[in-house]
Amino acid sequence: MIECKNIHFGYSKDPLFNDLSANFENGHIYGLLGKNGAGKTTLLKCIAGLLHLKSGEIDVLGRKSIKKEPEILKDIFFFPENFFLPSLSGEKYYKLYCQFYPNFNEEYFLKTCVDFEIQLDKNLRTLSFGQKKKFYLAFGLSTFAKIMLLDEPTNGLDIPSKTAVRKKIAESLTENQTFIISTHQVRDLSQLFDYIIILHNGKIIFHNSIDYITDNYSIKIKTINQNNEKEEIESIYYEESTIGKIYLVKNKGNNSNIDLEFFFDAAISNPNSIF
Amino acid sequence: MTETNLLNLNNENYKIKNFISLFKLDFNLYGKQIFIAPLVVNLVFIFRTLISVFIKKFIVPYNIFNSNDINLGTYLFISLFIGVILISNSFKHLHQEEKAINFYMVPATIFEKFLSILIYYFFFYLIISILSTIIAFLINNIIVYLFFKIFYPLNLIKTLFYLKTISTYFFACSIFMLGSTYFKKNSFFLTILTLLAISMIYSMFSGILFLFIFKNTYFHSFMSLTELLSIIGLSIKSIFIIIEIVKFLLSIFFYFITYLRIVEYDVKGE
Repeated sequence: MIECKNIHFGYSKDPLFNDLSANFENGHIYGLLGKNGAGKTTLLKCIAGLLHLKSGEIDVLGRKSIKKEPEILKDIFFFPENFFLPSLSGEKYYKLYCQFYPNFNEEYFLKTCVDFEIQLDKNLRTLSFGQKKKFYLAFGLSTFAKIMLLDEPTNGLDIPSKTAVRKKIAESLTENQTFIISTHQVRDLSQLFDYIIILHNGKIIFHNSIDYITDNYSIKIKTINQNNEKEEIESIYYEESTIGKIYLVKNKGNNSNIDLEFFFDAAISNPNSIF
Repeated sequence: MTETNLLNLNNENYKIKNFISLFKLDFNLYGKQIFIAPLVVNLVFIFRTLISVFIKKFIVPYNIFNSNDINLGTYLFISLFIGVILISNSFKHLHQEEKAINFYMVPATIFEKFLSILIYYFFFYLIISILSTIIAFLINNIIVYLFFKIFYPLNLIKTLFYLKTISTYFFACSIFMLGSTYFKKNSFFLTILTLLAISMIYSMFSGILFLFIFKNTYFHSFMSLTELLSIIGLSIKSIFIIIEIVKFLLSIFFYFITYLRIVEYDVKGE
């Protein structure tokens, strides 16, 4: 479990987070969404203990992650957007690094590498960006760390790889684990999330479950042909598209599918209307 | 044995195992250069002796071969100088976001990470430099003996263990390691420039001090610590001991500051 309590942080004098609080429970996959510069990566770094807060506290599994103690680091796997892999073979890498993670599952790792089509005898530096990313992700998932912080895990991957990654993340989640996945590519991973957090201007403007969204919101489309109809749609947000107007409307008790990217656009264009 | 004792023992075993894993990891990340640098220097040492032997045996035979031709002190100095350059890059990875994340996220304490790097760059490098220079000296001696039937005694090795060399290397490493936490690029040169700037400030300060306090115009230029102590009337031996103690204390202080810098470091984007 992760508890962020009244955190204040900024790279310069201007604060990025001003009194931000959030809790992340075990057994869930959180989608961390936000525009560029909203602070998604910074929030992940703060949780990982890589940045010192101006004030406030972050407790990860009951410990202060900023202390960078091995007891907590073995339970955190941070997958940054840009990561470092040394000039070693995949086999040597996992044998060296797995020693630090008591829950590392070698069998699962080797199987994941086969699924991701990664050759472990090759030097990691010679792999393509996508292969490096899949290798690092395979290693990270195999640590079975309780806290998984994934920053743009599908960025730069081809379509089959995205599917494979999505499948692996879904199958590796255990009830002791918490996944926080930051992404711009909402559609790639939207099926995985069971909670959504939207960061906007250093604040969390939405933090709720997918069930809450589908129970309370739905999408209505008014095609170009229907545009002349006089019926007014009471919407929270709408977007013009090639097929007509797409509306986000309050649901009246029915469960419906919703496009998360559209919901995200609605949330950041009019944050107050979403709650 | 009580349950608490067993738990402590398991915890200690875990810590030792963890440090060994970190040590292995660091060897794979940084260890190679620690072996390569002294090896290259001493290969040059052997190669130079071979050329010298060849010239003195076949080209200018009247030129007598002497012990200076296999002076290992120079090569040890070069090897340690390279060691200082290497240590000036020891925490370079902190300035590169992805490498810094990799460094901090490895499940080990910051102290263990710091200690592991210090052991490699100072302790191991020093031992490897000394050993490789001794081996190179012995090989050189064999080469010289084969051609000139002269064998230079190993008492030259005594100079290697001269306390001053090791303490100076320890001191230099502390300064340049600290420099590596401040400077992103060209850490070696920037640390030297910083040292020069500090020396100039010290020179000005000591000049002013002596001009106003001692009214001594002779000393109002750059004043070394040795000169300062000799004015007080201390013997050369006492001065040497004081300087060694000051060097050691300053080294510990610089290592401590380096450690604090690593603890307080924020991994920001570039």
